[in-house]
Amino acid sequence: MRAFERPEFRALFDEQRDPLFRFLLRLTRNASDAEDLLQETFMTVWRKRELFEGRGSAAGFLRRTAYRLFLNQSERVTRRAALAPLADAERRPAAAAPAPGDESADQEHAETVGFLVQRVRAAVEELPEPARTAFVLFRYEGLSCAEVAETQGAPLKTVETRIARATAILAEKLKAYRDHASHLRA
Amino acid sequence: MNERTFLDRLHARAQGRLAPDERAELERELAADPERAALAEDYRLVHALTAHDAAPGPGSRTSFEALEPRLAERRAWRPAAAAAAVLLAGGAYLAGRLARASEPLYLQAIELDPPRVRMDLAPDLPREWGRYDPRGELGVSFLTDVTDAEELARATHRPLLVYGTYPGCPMAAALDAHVFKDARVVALAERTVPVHIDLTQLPVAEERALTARGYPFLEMWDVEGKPTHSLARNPDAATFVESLHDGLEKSDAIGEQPPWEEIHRAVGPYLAARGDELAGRLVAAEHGYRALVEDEHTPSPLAERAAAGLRRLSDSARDALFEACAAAGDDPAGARRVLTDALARFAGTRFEVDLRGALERLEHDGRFPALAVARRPA
Repeated sequence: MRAFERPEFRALFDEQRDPLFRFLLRLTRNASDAEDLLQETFMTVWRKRELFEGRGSAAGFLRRTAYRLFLNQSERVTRRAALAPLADAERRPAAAAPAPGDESADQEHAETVGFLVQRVRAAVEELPEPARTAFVLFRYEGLSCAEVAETQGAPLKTVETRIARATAILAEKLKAYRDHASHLRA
Repeated sequence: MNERTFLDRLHARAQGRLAPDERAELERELAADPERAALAEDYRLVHALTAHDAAPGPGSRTSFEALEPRLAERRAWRPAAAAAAVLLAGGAYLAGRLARASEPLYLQAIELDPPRVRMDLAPDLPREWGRYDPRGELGVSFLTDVTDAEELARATHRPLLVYGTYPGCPMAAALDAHVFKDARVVALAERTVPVHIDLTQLPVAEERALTARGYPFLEMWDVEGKPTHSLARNPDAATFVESLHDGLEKSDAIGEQPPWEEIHRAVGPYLAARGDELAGRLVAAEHGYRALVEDEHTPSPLAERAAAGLRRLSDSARDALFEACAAAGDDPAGARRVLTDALARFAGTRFEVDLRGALERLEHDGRFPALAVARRPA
């Protein structure tokens, strides 16, 4: 495979735009930032298309580029302190959430799927970087450990450690919801 | 890049994508390594809790048309490359021919992306699935093959009710007479896939391992074969009903539990479509699979298999494209033959248009076109 020309680039854009946007949305947690980075990614890939010589997939090339741009942006800009969630409108005030294990009157509320999703999402948001990103790519984007390693430019073993660490932290934080897990599988 | 790590295998297991032998190997590893077992347990929980949030989010609002002017700005940096491209094209005729040849063939039906449907589900279903019901006329109807039962449990999102006995055992006879014929038990068994094990048929080690957990052996297992509940063994229907209720509460059955009648209704058309596929009647196979996928009443286990069937047809047509593409450089006549044969096989299916497009481009341009997937409705 050779570097792509404009019709192929158009086809790549059409094919990868939405998956890449979701990937960036997971990283940035902000739709506007994700749109900006998406455009910057395609611009960069177009400029550097000679570098893509068919080693690996075009989607992987895009993802690596997007991830590097995300890191560059993160270094330049102070990250949002509140770590805005994917959909602000869906998020409930943290104060409304009962503590894990609390069997008070809020228990019924705690058993709703919406509540559990928010708790899980908040726990993922609180993971330390770069374990959070590794976990998000692995769990939500469906990348293999090797693909996460390629995207993050890190050794495979390091990525395994990051994901295992994220898993342990999440399991510890969320163990009180063990019995409710089945609600989230529907 | 293809190295499959321990975590990859845990992930595949959580998604039900591990083959039985891989699963068995993983279980052995976990049994031998407490640290890995702890991580596996953590991951099982985390996977379940994050499942709801794994759905695709919204798409981007950026259009290619909005991006294109910015690409043109950058292209001005590369006048030499542009001039070289024009020179390379040569005369007007050749330029036009090459320009068209460089355009991808946008596929209308054949998929190039990784499957979005599960491809690991067994495509060949036991014919018994078309009539099996745990609610037998004479009581609970037990399957006798654990592997088949596990497959059916996975497909119907039901836990296994595992009953192991020795032939001629009076305790088992009492259970059969007083418990498994009881109407309340039969009604509840509808929510399980009951399977009976003749313990004398097991390897000694396995037999001992099971009976060490109680005899008659009566447990509920999840679809991965993991015990979730030990059932009451005394021959009293009321006690057993209570115990079975507890087991169902604890069971790891997920998703909808399609009624057995709906399974029966869909299995016939599915088996017919699968038979058509195997016999090379691809129009009928495509039609059958598509009807099941598009019918909202098709139980999800059958709809998933029908979707996988459609994908297999697409992959078969795609493979013909790839084979023709590989041959086109050295053997254009061979490439044309591959496409012509494929056209004959796929005539009348939705994939025909893509195969015909490739053949026309090959004949007109003298080379195989680049392939891209046309934007399609989700």
